[in-house]
Amino acid sequence: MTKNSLKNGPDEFGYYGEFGSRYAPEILMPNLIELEEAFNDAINDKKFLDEFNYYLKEWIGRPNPLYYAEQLTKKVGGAKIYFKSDHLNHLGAHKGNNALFQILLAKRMGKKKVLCETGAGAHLIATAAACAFKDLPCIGYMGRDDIFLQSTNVLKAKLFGAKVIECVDGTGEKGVLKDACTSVLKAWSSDPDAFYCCGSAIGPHPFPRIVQYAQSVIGKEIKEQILEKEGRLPDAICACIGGGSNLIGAIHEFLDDKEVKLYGVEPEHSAALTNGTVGIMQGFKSFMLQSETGDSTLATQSLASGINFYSAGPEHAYLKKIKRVNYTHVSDKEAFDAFQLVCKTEGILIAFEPAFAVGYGIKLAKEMGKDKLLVLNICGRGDKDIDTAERILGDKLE
Amino acid sequence: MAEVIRTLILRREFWEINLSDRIKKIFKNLKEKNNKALISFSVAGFPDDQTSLEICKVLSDSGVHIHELNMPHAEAQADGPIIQLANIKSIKKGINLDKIFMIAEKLRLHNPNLGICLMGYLNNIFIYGIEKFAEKANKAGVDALICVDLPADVKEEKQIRDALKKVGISLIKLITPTTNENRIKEITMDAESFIYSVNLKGITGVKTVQVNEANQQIDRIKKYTNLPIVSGFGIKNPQDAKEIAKSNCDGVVVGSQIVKYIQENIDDKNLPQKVGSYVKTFVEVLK
Repeated sequence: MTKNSLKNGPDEFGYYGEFGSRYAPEILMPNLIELEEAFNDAINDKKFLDEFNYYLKEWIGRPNPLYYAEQLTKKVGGAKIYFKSDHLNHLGAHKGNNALFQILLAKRMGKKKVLCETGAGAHLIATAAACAFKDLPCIGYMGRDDIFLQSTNVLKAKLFGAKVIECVDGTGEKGVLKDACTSVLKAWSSDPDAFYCCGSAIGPHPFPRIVQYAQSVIGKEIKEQILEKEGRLPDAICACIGGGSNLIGAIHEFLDDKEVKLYGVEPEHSAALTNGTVGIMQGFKSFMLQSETGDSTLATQSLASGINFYSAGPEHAYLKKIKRVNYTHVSDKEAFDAFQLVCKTEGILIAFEPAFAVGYGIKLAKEMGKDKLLVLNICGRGDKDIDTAERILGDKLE
Repeated sequence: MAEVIRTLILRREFWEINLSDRIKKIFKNLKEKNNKALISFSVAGFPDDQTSLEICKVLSDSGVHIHELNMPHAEAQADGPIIQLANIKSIKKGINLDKIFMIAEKLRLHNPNLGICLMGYLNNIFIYGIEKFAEKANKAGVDALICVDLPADVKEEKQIRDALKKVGISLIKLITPTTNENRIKEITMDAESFIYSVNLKGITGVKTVQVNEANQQIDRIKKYTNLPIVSGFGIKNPQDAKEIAKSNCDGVVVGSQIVKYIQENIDDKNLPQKVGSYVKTFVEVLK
C-alpha cells in the first residue's frame, strides 16, 4: 500500500474522506463486519484470486478488447476514441465482474442464499447466472417500473433460476432502483444469514470497496491495452455514472496518474453529484438528490434505468470533493443521439447507460485535439433497450 | 485491567447522574410495584399534525409510560409497510422537525410525567443540524432519542451523544438477535436510560415474536447492564404483550399495531379516543 495513494480504499470505518461508512441498523452491523472480514481474507488468498481470475477469463470472456472506434473518431473529428468493450462480456455488461466476485465470496463464506437489487436488470442477470453455476438460490429485487422497461432481462434472470420480487415505494405509486435498494436491505434484515450481493459502489461499507475491487479489472485492462497499442496512458477516460460501479472500475487504476483526466457522466435528471447535497440514506453518506428536510429522496428520471439513481457511491463523492474526477451530465436526447450514432458508425448496439458517456465523450473529443487519446467505457450492450428505442423512434425507424 | 474496571465504574456513575430523570423515575416506580412499562409509538404528522398530537395526548392519558414519537423518513430501512406508509403520508403533508418539536412540546405541557422519546433516522437530524436538534428537543421536553441507523462506527454517533448529553437527553441503543456478545458489551457501555431489545430478525410490524427468543436475548443483555430493557418488534396483541412481560424485561413496546389501528380507523371522528381505548387493552394486561 503506497502512502497517500488514492487507490488505498476507505479507512477502517469505511470512510472516503467524510463520505461512506456504514449507517446501518444494528441488525445488519454484524453481517457487514463479517462480510468485511471475509472480503479482506479472500483478497489475500491466492487460491481464491486464481479462481476469480480463471472465471473472469473463461466464463466472462475477459480481457475484452480496447477497440479503436475509428469511424466514430473520424465522424467526430477530435481525439482518438477507444471503446473499452465490457458490452462484449458474457451477460452483456460490466456487472458480471462484480457478481462473479461476490458469488465466489458467498460460496467461500458458506452462504446458502443470495439476495440482490437491480436497476436495469444487468446486475440481476449477472447475479442469477453466477448463482446458477455456483448452485445458490438467487432472489432479485427490482422496481416495478424497471420490470416493465427491462422485461427481457427479467426473463433471462428467471431462466437462470432467479426469483424476481417487484418493489414499489411506500405508497405503491412508483418502483425504481432506489426502491429495490431499500427493499433488499429490509429483506436482508429479515434474513441476515443470506448473502446480499450489492450491484453498485453504494450502500454501507464494505460494499463500495468490494464492488470497486471487483470492477477494477476494467481499468487494469485499459492500462495494459493502451500501453500496448499507444505506448502511453490515455489523456482522458469517460464513463457514465448512476451508483458508480463501471466508472470506479474504469478509473480506479488511474487515480494516481494525475495526467489522466477522468470524467463521470450522469443523466441530466438524476445528477446527484452535480446537483445534490450531502446526505445519509440507505447506509451511506454521499451527495444525494433529497428533500430540504432530508426525509426523502427527490424523484429522478433517466432514459437509462441502470443509472437512474438519487445518489452516487461515496468514493465518487470524495473524488468530486477533492476534484480528482470531473462529474458532469448530459440529457436523454444527447444520450439517445449518441446511441444511434454508435449504431450507425461502428455497428455496435450499446446500452442506453454508456450512451451517456458517449454523448459527453463526443463533446470532449472535439475539444481535445487529434493527438489526444480518449477512452469511453462501454459498460453494456443495448439488446435490453431496443423496445424503448423502437417506441421513441416510431415511424422514423424505416 | 484495573484501569478498565475503573473506567467502567466511572461510566456507571455517569449514567446514574445523567440518566434522564423522568425515565429513571418511571422505571424506578414500576419496579417498586413490580410492574412493566408500556411504550407506545406513533408517527408524527399522521394522519395530520393536530390529530397526531391528540393521539399522543390520549395515549398518555391511557396510562402508557413512555411514548415514541416517530420522525418520518421515506426510506426507513428497518420499518415494515405499515409504518412506512404512515411515514410517507406524513411527509407528503409537510411534516418537519420544527412541527415535530411543537407536537412534543404540547404533549409535554399536557403530561409532565410521560417519557417522550423521539425516534427516526439520522438524515433528518443531520440535515437539521445536530446541535440545533439537541437544543430544540430539550426545549420541547424530550427525554430520549432512538436513531435507527446510527451505530457507534459512524462519526455522528459521538457528535449526537455529546450534543444530547449537554442538554440531558439520552441516546437509546438498540440490541438485536444478530448482535454478538462483544457488541452487546460495547453497546451497553455507552447506553443511557434504557436498552431497546429488538426481538426479531426483521422489520417492524411483520413477524410475530417468539417469547423464548425474546427472553433469551433479554438475558444476554442483562449480563452486561443494569439498565432497564424494553422489548420490541412483533408484539401484535395484548396477549403477546402479556407473554413478553413475563420475561426479565422492564417494558414492552407496541408500535406498528397502533399505527395499523390508526390506519384502519382513519375516518372515525373520535379517532384519538378510539386509539386510547385500544391501547388501554395493552395497559390493562401489564398491570
